[in-house]
Amino acid sequence: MSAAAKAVVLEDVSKVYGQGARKVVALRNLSLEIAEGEFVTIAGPSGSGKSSLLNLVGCLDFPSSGSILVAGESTGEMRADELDRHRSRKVGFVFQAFNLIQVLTVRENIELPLLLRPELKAADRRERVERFLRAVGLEAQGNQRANELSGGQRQRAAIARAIAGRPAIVLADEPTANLDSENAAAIIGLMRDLNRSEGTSIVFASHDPEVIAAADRVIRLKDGMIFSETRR
Amino acid sequence: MRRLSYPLKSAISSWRRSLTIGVFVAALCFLGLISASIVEASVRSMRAALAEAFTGQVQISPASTTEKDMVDIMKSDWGALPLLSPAAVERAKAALAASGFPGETVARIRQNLVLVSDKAKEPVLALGLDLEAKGYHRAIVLSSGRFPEADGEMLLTSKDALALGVKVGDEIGALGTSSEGYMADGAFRVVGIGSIDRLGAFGISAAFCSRGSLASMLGIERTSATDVVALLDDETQAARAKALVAAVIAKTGGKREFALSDIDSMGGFVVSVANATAWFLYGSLAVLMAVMSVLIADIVALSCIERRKEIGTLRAMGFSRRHVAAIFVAEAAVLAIGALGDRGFAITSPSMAFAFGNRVFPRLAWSDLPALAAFALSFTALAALVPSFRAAGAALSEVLREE
Repeated sequence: MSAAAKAVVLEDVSKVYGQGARKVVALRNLSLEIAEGEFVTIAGPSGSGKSSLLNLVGCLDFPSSGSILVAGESTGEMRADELDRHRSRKVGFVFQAFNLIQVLTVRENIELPLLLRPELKAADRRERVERFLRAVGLEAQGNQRANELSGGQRQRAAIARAIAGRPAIVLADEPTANLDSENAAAIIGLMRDLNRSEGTSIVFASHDPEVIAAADRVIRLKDGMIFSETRR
Repeated sequence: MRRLSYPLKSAISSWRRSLTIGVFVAALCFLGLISASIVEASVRSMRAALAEAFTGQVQISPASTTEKDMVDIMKSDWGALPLLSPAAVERAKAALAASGFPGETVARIRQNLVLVSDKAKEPVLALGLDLEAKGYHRAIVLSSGRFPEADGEMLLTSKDALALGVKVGDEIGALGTSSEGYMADGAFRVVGIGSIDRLGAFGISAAFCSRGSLASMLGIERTSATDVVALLDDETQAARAKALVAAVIAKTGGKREFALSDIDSMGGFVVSVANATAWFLYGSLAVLMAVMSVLIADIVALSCIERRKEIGTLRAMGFSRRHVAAIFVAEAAVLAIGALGDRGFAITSPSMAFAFGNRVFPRLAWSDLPALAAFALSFTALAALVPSFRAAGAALSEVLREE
């Protein structure tokens, strides 16, 4: 597999928090590749390093050592403004607590990251927003504010927001943890559909068996290292 | 979505916080406007009184005149001042008239006198004016009597009248130095007593009489003068008028004959005190503004702490620190614009006239609004910038961590 066809490449990555006696090693010399369009679940118990891994791939944090390539670009040498731009174009996030902007409507929430893309005119943005509102089944709720939606609807809106910018990869940290089983299944199905239709790589961090069962590939972490890897 | 809708909706959504910031900004703007207006009006009023009573806005005197400060000369200089000949007086009046600014031109004789009554002696600055001069009336609030209308009549300040123990209708003696340097004496009838409005605190001793009677007493020609002053209808044109008069004097070859002064060079002590007062008040206002800005910054900082996750989410989406700070600053600026709503009340309210009177009326005009809006916006934006920029720089992995 060529480097260009890989959404994420991690080489010998370590992440250490704190110093001296308070030092905590979150990731140990981890190497990993995720292909474009792959649907991957990072599984493992709490403290195994799932969130740390997602933070590094999403350029929310910096590795203590090793190198990271996201969408073919090495993030280690990027300046702060380049990282911001990289995140806005290449990475989408879906959070456990949805993290929608409460004062904005669903439409505005989806449009928000698109405002950072000057090449998108207002009409293009509107077109994208409507398309992804339909894709997540929230056409009727477009003008409602985020705090007027149910949990499942909020997560759908968050998914639409993450994917509307057509990023190379969407990172979802425990996206079903705050949902009931019915909504959780619907969200997994939706993300699977978007993964297929948009060709976007999706990486879940989860210990939800439903999420694990839906993935093409499951990477299990333990103590900051890859413990096992399963492909389907 | 319009760029401002996010900060606008945030401002409306957290209305308690918005109200607090809005009240702070509104109070500051109101206080700033009123304070600045009062200071400006007071300084303008004091300068006007000084010009009307003593210096004029522009003054032409003989080239050999060296005096600068009206108050200093009262205390220290008892020698006779150089005189303008009657012909020079006419040339000086013509030069002032040629400047083209409407107002009153008055030839005067100024001399320090000692006024003598049965009870006391009092040194005063005597001003002998053309009887038709009316400009100085505006500076004097009569407590009894009237202004001099004939030779031999004199108007005293209340302070001097009290010190001399005289009232309207009494006769007083006067001692002075003649143009040749001899002792001269004369007698005047007190026809009016009043105070020099807005300059009472300076303890100025002055007496006003006709130019003719002072000339007679000092043994000089009645149509001579120590100076000719212009009291402009529009005092703000003083500097332009002075420049134009200087040009006229230069053109007519009067540079060796005349010295040209204005209120700033002659009103030294009084003008300095007025300016110092203004700077003190503006300084106090600046301190108040600094305190207010810290309070606003604190409120924005608290808001940033409450909205850490929102900031983290924006940053994760790719918003830069600058973008995030701009959202918070815009939010604060929206509140600042809202806070300006009370300006309409302040500007139109008749309560302002009731509170401050007509003499020192705060200058509140609709035309102030753009400047005030710019001030409120920039002030609030600056206060909000530091905490929001700092909050936007927090570690994203920490901010977004689920507990």
